[in-house]
Amino acid sequence: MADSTPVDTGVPGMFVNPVVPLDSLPGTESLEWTPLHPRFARRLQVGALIRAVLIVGAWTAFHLRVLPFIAERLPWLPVFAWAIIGAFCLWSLLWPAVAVPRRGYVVRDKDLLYKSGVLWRSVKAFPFNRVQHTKLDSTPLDRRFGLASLSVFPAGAGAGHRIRGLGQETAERLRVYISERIEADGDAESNDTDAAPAPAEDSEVNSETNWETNSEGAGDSGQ
Amino acid sequence: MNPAVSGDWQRLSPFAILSFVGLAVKIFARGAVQGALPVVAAILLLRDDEPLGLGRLLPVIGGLLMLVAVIAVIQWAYFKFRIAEDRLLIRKGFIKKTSLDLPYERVQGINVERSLVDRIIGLVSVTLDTAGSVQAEGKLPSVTTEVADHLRASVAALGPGLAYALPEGGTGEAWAPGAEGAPSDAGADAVAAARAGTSAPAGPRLATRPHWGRVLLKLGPADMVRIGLANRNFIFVAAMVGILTDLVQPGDFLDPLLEALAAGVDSAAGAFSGLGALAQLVVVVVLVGGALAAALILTVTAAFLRHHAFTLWHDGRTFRSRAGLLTQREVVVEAPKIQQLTVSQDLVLRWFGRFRLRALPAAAVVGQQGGQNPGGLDVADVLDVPLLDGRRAEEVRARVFRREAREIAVLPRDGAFRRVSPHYIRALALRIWLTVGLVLAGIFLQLLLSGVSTAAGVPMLIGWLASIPVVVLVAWQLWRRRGYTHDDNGLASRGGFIGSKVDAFPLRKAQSAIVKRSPLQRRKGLATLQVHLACGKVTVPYIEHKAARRLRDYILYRVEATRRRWH
Repeated sequence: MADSTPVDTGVPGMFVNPVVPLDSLPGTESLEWTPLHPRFARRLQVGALIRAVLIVGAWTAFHLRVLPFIAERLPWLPVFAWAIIGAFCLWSLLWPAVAVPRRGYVVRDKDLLYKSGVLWRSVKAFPFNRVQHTKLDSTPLDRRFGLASLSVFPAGAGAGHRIRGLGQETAERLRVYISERIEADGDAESNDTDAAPAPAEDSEVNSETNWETNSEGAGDSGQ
Repeated sequence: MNPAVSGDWQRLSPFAILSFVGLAVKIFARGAVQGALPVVAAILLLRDDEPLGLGRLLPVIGGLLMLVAVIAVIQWAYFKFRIAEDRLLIRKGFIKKTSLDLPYERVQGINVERSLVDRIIGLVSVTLDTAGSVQAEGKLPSVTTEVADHLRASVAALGPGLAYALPEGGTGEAWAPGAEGAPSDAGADAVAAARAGTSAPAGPRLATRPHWGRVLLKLGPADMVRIGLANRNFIFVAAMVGILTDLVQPGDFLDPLLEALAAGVDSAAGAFSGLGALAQLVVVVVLVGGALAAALILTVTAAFLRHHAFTLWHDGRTFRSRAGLLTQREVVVEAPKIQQLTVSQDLVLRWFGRFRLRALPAAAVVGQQGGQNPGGLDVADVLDVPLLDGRRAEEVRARVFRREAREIAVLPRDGAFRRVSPHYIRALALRIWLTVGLVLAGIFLQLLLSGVSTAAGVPMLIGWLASIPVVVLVAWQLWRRRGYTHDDNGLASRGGFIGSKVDAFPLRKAQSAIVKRSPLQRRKGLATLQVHLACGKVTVPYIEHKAARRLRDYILYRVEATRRRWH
């Protein structure tokens, strides 16, 4: 982001506030998305298989014990229920193969992007200087496949945002990288607020300019 | 330093026992609702041969009260606090010991509450709000105003976002905390001045009345009536009564009503049915009018109790509100902590040409180590202005956001708002219609299980199909209320159904940004932009995909290019 405006005034600590042409802002169109770990789809399928066995088992027990009483009145209900369960199990077995290749992430200098979704698609962006902390976790099944999940916690996002299906090593590297970015940012922030009281606050800019034509950054120039 | 706020461990005033009693009663009440009540009900049901009279209940109640009193005294005896230079320390608990360490720089806001008892004795209750983490909240019940002032001054001096402490041009004088009549605490001022790096305010020292900056707003009794009228509960009652009065057909309407009433008020009903049709109508009108009046009196009284003499001050970066008839509540919020402004207007407020404004602070834990769960927003911590006109709302907006986003639209009918794509109507209508269908299907299944024949589904299906025009109308209205606008520094999103609500925030405060696309949106080249803030999320649905992406990129740029704190 700041790379687009590397104005060096030669005076250390001098505040610069160059105009940012909107089209020069880095977008997400030409990004190389990193796919998730290749074994992740298989791991989800194994999980789905275990779940399917459990569900079918539980429902069979239910079918034998309780269902006859209900089936007296609604003979189609057991068939209907079995159809739904079957469809669900089949879907959760097959779907990962479709969905996982559509997910991906990009680590940029100042933020982390995550895309997902087959029909309903989304691209989430997490600026590092807003991340409060990160979390790494893996279930036993994850570990068998050498996978881990990374969660980032911006303020206000209760459960955080979870990126599943990273390789254990990749996840750890990412976590360290983000933590470093948070720390560096925290230092910069406190220095900034203690020494030079936020120049942007005092510079009367932007309020009348039209966003479409002339967008200036009222923040500091980047590091 | 003032002797009352010296750095030693000290107890609360004995009057604090009262507040502990209140706390214990509250806990008991909650426990009773959750656990004891079903048990009591079961006992009552099982032992109907021996009716539980007052004589048998009294000892139980007396015992409970004794227990509460003992607990309160113990809690008071084990509650100690210490005001250090840079932090407040609290030790409390008899069985489960807790010790709290509240560095002033973590404190998000100070709320001061004065209950009736407190006001008679001249004490206050102070709550230090630490970024929403429940377990770390510090409350000091019944302390002297000097302690409150000292804490306030210390937090103002050491709190986060120090760099924003420059007073806004007009006021000239630095903030000078002080309570009514009480001379300002010189020690606190010295601390404050030393920490803030500014010279001690010399001029306005002689002021003996509170100097809390400029009064932005003061609400009078007429406003209380307006607030009462705009109360949702009142609207609900009024709507119910309206529906009922529409239905009144003296003959057929009254009979079932009378039947229902007959069980309880047999004699009254007998006398009532003896009356003629006209007299019955009169009685109903009187009853309905009475209910309406009662509801009105109730809501207006509630408004008086809560918002009486509501006053909003602004000084530098501090906003302060105080209101309440019996219990006086004071909320202090620092402008840099405010993440978002929400201006809402329902039907009644629109009729009065007024708005309600809420300034939302961060709900989550602040700090690098994190780890705690973000607690829910305590309503008391939100700066809530129950009633203000458009001009004032815009003034508050300008003062909260200062030079960034001070122009962003906050009033629902601002011309700057742009409509979202009409495809939104289609998507919404489909969603609502399918939801209705699901609910109906559930009801149908229930009916089938209870033995009703399948034919019952036919009218339901017809009803579902017939609901399409209504659903489309609802969706259209929702679309009409939707809107968004943005400038270089801020974004505002409008929504609502009958009333409307505007969420406005400076772009810099964003925490994360999401661009979403449904299959329909992808076909039409649209997208939904969702911006998450520390206090919730703001959604802009169904705008051009390109615009959404650009806006997202710009928000990211604004967030990432600034090194200023967001809190």
